[in-house]
Amino acid sequence: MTGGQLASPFLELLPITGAAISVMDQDRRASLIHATDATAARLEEMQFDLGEGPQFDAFRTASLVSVPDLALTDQWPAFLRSAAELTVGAIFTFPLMLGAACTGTVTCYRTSPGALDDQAATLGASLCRAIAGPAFRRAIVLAEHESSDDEAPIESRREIHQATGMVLGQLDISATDAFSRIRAYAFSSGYTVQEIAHAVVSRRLNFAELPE
Amino acid sequence: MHDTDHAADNTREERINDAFVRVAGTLVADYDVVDLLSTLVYTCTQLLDVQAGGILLADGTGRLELVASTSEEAEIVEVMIVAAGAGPCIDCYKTGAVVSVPDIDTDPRDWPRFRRTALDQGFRAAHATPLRLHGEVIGAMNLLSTVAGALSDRDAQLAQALADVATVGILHERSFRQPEIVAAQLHLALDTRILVEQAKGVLAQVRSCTMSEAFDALRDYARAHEVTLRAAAEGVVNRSISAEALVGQAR
Repeated sequence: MTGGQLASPFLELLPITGAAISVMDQDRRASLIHATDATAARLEEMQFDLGEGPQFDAFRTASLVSVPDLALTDQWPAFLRSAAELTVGAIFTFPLMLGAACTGTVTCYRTSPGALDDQAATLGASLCRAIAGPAFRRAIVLAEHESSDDEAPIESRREIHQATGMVLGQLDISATDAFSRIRAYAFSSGYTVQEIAHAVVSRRLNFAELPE
Repeated sequence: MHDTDHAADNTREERINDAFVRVAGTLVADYDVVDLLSTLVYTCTQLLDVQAGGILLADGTGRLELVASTSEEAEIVEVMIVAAGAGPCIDCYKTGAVVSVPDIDTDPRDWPRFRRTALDQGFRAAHATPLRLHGEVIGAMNLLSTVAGALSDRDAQLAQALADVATVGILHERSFRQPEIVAAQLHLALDTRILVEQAKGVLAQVRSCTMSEAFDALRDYARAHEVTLRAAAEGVVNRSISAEALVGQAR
């Protein structure tokens, strides 16, 4: 599936002007998968450069962050100052969830202000679930130096989810952070995410026993 | 897979009824699709005299994910998953037709990894049945037997009927005409499985139990507290349900 195919249902089914899909890497840097237009891409870039904005809040809280009218909010002052140069009235940022772990966000914007009704919010969350698979694969690929074939064998995916739960229990952290830690360890050690997950599940690797 | 003696087999009829009634119940009550499918595929193995089974659903990119199986043991799960990569399940899903493998050992089709994995676990025959909705295939049900031989026509028909029941259980009849709701329910089922795997990991870590024991504890908790398996898994992962209490009450 191309980035455009992933994003087009959002444009077709939600009352929005544009959308951008990003996956967070193991260091919480956003990696843009697709933006439907230049404004959507610019919104992602600004938030990443400034280190603030609804994207970070959606990722951190694992819930929808709605800004129905940018002129009426006093959150994220630096981001809003930059965004004022664009024609953006409203922003709705959905978390991309993988079970309980957040892997990224879908930032939707609209040129005119206005809220997203409950039905649209539910539909948006459902559209996010539909692209969880490709987002997950991208998140894995970002943490690996070589394999990058985007085709992680299917049997190892279960172990990655199980390992996420185990690391969550080992370190008493969120599922989102546990998944990040596994990817970060894969990235720094040169092993694949699947290899790390397998070592965790077979109890050969305990993150609570790793040196700082 | 041998033909069982059906003539005096009342319990078989009762079990078939029971499976249908259980699914009918899910259409009105709050239910959990992973829990339902696990029960259904287990019923199927009992009725058809096969030793293992799994239900796989396609994700948005056409890959099959194992959503329910008769065992959570890694070895059984692996056979199911390999069959979904290059084996009877993926062929069944792609063609929308039953794929019967009466003898895995001598089957000429090009599935080296499936053959090896299945034989290693003692399976000799496989039977994959499509999950179909309005001509569209949404997944496959895979049944494995430790005895070589094809399912009888009658058993193959029953397998298809149960696969159809599973489809109803996944999608709710009332939503069949709304493609976006069908897709939403499929994706929710797949995500529930991910959440269940994460919760199994938490329990396996905190209570030093196996993944299989973790699944049983989760399911027992959900039933005892009349919550969905998804709700129980969510509670374990976000720590609103203590892992200690949960495994403790299952013992």
